[in-house]
Amino acid sequence: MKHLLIILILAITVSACQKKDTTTPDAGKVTINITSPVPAQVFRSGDTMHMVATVSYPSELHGYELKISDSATGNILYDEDEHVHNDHFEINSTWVDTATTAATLKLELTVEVDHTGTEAEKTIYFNYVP
Amino acid sequence: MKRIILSMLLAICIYMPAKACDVCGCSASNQFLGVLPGYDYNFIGLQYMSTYLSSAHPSAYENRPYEHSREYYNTFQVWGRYNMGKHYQLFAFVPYQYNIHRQDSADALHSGIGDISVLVNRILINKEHKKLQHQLLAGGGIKLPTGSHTSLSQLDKQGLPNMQPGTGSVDFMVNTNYTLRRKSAGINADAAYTFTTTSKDSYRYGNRLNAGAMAFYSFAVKKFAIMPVLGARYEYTLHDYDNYNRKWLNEQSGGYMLYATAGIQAYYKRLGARINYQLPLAQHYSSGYVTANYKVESGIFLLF
Repeated sequence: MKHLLIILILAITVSACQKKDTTTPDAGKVTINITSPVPAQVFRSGDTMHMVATVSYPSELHGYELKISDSATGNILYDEDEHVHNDHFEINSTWVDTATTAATLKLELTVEVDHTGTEAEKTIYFNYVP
Repeated sequence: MKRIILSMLLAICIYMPAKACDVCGCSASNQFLGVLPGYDYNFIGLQYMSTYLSSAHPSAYENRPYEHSREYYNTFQVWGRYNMGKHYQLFAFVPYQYNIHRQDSADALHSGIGDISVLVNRILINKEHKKLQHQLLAGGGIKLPTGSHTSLSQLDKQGLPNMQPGTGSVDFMVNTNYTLRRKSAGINADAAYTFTTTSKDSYRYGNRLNAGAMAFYSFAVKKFAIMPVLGARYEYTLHDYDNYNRKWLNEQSGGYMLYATAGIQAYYKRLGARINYQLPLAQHYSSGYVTANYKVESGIFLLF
């Protein structure tokens, strides 16, 4: 009984110590590869735009935000965010623009490295023609 | 007496936060025994447990408002006790989970059979001494990953991992339960500790403690035996690991909750019923972003 109790106390004490990954958050180590759209690509009204990207990092990432905005007015046309808890992930989303005026649009992919505001970002500009 | 001291020592040691590192935490759902019906009898019961949590945390992204959500955990459980000879008691728990995550008026529902647990307790003490009746149980058990569980990467898009019916892991439990009774009044103290293991997708929930102390008094009303109970419960959970193999500790999980609890048990012949209400007195859960609002536990059981 005594031995069992000692083993139990030791097990609880040891298991209460939680090791953690001590990698220092570094946005510069995030690799963002946007394969679609490509810079200066032209889309016409009704076209389906595929947004395809891969993201990787040496440690845990926490999420991303994918946003399309009008580069002149700043109007946000598309906004998607997801929680992700992995060191790599893929994004595969679609969007259809039906606006009536031509514009240069900005695609921003923001990756959340930690929960204290460390972020990595990549931007692509492309064109929309009605 | 020696056994009482050893068990109390165990309970005290379980209560102690680890001083070797700055961790502390608590969980939303824990299995505990508390004040048990009719010691000499086997029983089978149906139990309903409900927990309501709310959370408010800053958005991970700039210029976004705080994100608010509510989580409702509902467990319907068949449980029972079977006396194996004079010294051992077998407990089994078969839960059905019905959990709702509500954010921006949108509900995400996670339901299904949960993780089945089996517990074997040894009756260490059951005797009367100077008009005081002592009863001490201690033992351990296992929780099996019978409930559905989705890997974290997929579930990120649906809600919190702890909303799922199952944890995806085999967990081990130890517990002790002590009751001291004099005539119609008594006290009950219990502590249960769960050692978690890593699921197939490398997620690992934090180890959990659930401990409580209750005072009770029984009296008769016509053919009914009525027993009000009053006490406190303490829950403490270590942080979860998003990926245990990579040591990705989720420091926004875990914490503690201290509840005041009041309830009543009623018996008619071999049929019993009970209801308990728990209100938080103090808490710090998920870095303070999650607030426990209340817990309700009720059930009926048949002694045989």
